[in-house]
Amino acid sequence: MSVEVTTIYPAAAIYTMDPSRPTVSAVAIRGERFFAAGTLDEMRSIANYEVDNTFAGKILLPGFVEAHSHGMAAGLWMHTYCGFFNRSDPNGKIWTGCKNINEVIDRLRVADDSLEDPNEPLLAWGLDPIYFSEERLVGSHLDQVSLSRPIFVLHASAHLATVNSALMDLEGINSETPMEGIPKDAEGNPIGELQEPAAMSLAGTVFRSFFGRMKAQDTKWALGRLANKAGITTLTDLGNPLSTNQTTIDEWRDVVDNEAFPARMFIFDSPAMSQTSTENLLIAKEKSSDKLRLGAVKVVLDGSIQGYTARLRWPGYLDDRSNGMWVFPPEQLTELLRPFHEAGLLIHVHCNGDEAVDVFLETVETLLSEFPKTDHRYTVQHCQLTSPEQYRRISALNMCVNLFSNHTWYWGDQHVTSTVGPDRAARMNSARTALDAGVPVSMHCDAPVTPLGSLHVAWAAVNRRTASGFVLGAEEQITVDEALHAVTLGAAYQLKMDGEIGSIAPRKFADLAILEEDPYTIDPNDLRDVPIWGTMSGGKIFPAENT
Amino acid sequence: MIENVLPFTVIGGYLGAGKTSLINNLLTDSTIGRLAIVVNDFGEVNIDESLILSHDGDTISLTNGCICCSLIDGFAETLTQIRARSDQIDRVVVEVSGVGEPRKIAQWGHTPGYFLDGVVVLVDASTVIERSGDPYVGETICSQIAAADLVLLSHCDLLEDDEIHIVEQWLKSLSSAMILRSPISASMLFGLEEVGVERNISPIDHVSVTLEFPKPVDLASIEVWEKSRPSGVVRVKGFLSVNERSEENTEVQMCGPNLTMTASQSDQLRKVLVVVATPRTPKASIIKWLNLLNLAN
Ligand SMILES: [Zn+2]
Repeated sequence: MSVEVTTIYPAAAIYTMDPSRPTVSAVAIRGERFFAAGTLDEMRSIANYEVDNTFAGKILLPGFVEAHSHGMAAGLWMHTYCGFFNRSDPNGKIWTGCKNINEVIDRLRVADDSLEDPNEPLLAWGLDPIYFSEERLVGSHLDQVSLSRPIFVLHASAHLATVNSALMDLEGINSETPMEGIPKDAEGNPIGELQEPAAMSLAGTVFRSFFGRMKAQDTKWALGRLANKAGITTLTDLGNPLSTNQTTIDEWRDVVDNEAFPARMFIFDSPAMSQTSTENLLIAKEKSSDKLRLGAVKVVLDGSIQGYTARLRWPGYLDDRSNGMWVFPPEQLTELLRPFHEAGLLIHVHCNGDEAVDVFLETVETLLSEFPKTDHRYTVQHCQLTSPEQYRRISALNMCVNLFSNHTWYWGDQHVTSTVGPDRAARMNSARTALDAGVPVSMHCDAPVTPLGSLHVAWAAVNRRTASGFVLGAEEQITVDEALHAVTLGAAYQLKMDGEIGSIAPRKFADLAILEEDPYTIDPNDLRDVPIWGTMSGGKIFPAENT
Repeated sequence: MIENVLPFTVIGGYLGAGKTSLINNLLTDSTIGRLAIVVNDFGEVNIDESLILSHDGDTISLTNGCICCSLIDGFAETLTQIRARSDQIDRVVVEVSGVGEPRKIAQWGHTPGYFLDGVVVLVDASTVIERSGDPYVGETICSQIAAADLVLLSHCDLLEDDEIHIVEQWLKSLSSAMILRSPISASMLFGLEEVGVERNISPIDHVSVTLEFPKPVDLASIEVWEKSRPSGVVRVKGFLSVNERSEENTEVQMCGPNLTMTASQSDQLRKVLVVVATPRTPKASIIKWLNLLNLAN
């Protein structure tokens, strides 16, 4: 009788996140799952094993779990990147950041040269002029790239775009255009900025092709390549209002269930937008596979802190402007969630500001008193300005938090000087306080808002450095081990997948992040720079170069 | 017509202010024509099943020619789809979510092929003052009111006249909008007495006055005229020849106190204004007001 082959992979170091055996030197894998984690010697009694030394010099961790990303995160790479920070594309090419207007123009000129059809619009993204010290970047700068080809450059905030004269002429955007959000110069001519979606949509066919191309099926594969290069083996799409549509499910299944796709994908619905019924969510949940998960709920309560649209408790924004906006009416949250709560669906709610957190906590208190549940894993997504007493309440309610720790790096300086000031900026994404309150913690990148990358997310929580280089809120720093736990088992827990993924232990899916250096022995300041060799998903090896 | 430009009216207001019942009334009001109603989600409109002709994903078609569109694909896509069938649609009404910002949504009314035809904000007269102090949503409610051209007071039947008066005074401190007590007819809400369009509308529910302006008008007299609007005037629509403006034919719209002038996209050549006012507004005062436009000539 034949027993399936078990492959044993010895490695330089293996960190399991399994409390009973935190470090081992070999893993044994049978089919899609871990068969054993221990030493090579211990494994000699396994029937029909073979030893594979591919990872002999590598460091193995559980595959990283990104519990808040978006399905179209790779779609922007259909267009030319011209952001401020270096960023690596799905093919592993590193695009250096554009540090001033000239570098943006140069980047766009190269892209212009590469387009053969003279009428094809030039589409670009990631523009971040808040970091530029010079004059305002306007349409006439883009005219230096082309006077004939329409150019559309989406800013990093995604709330506005800069366009050139050719585009404005083509679409008839001129001094007479009555819409708000189209700033004009002293002569009354538009300067080439289109602010907010209504104004951006005046870019007509160019606007439609920008967002249309991002939905191409190819971008799902590109997302897999981005994940693979980041050591991520479980992705999320938070959320998709069409998640229960058969077409959506089929499109994702085609990619994710293909054995060449290197990650699992958990798609949350947005019932506040879709009005999806509990019944439809339960039906979708039944359609889940080992790699594709469906039937959870995400609701967005408020906006973003850097966009001044998050709902803040007193004293609000530093410049005394009016409070942010509600995306969903607070008084309807209980009613919206009640049927999902009763049906036992997993519910995550986006709350950037501390006032939004209050609303979510009140809602969960109400629902739990009406219909008690113990293991619900209600999760506060972003949870950025949460105060210690709110963390104690979160703990008492058995809830989880998924922190947006990358904020310290990407917007920490702006939070200190402009949005909330140094005191509240120092307690943003306060992982230390959360952990000390006994709250299960994960951390995320919200790709494409920040690049897909769990090591960067962990690095940000460990070091809390801003882009200008100072440490913001040293008291909230956490250890490398705590941070790596958060982006593996911590995230798996919030997805209710901790029985299947998130640690290296017998029976679990053989998902691994395969690193070239040991994150536990390097200088914690270098955590984000640890090279990633690739991943393993369900026992299948995906080297980063070859995908 | 050179092109069928669709009027685009925004209906906002906080939860419970009566947006849903207003929209359901509009959907069955035969005086309005074929409406395209854009809503965040179909859950907000409870359309009578017997009126539904077909339900095709994000569009519900009604037996009377109206359609109801959800925003699941986003505004740009929804407006493109409505444009594609603009020969079958007379008017677009967009319902803003209870916490949405009507002024932001109104910007979509400037999309090519549409014109912004007023921001209407419904206000629950019986609760608005109390709710304006709500720590979570008070600010939202006040900014919605401030964004309105027309404020439509609902639930007035729950209040005494002097109580309503207090609410109206309070609203005036927040907004320059025209304040009307609901229900009002569709002709007042939309100013349905459009130039050159004959409609079978009962004259009891509003007053209308039409006046021709064969000679060009100065911007200076328009400014004087705009500021002296009689209190009952809800809407003005029509066309003028304006001396200081480059186009031949200027389209004039006034919704509540807010005047907009744009280059006409219509082939209408008559220079004429139509005024729609509340039922007891004296016609003489409207005519006198309109004649302010002729003073400089
Ligand atoms: Zn997100």
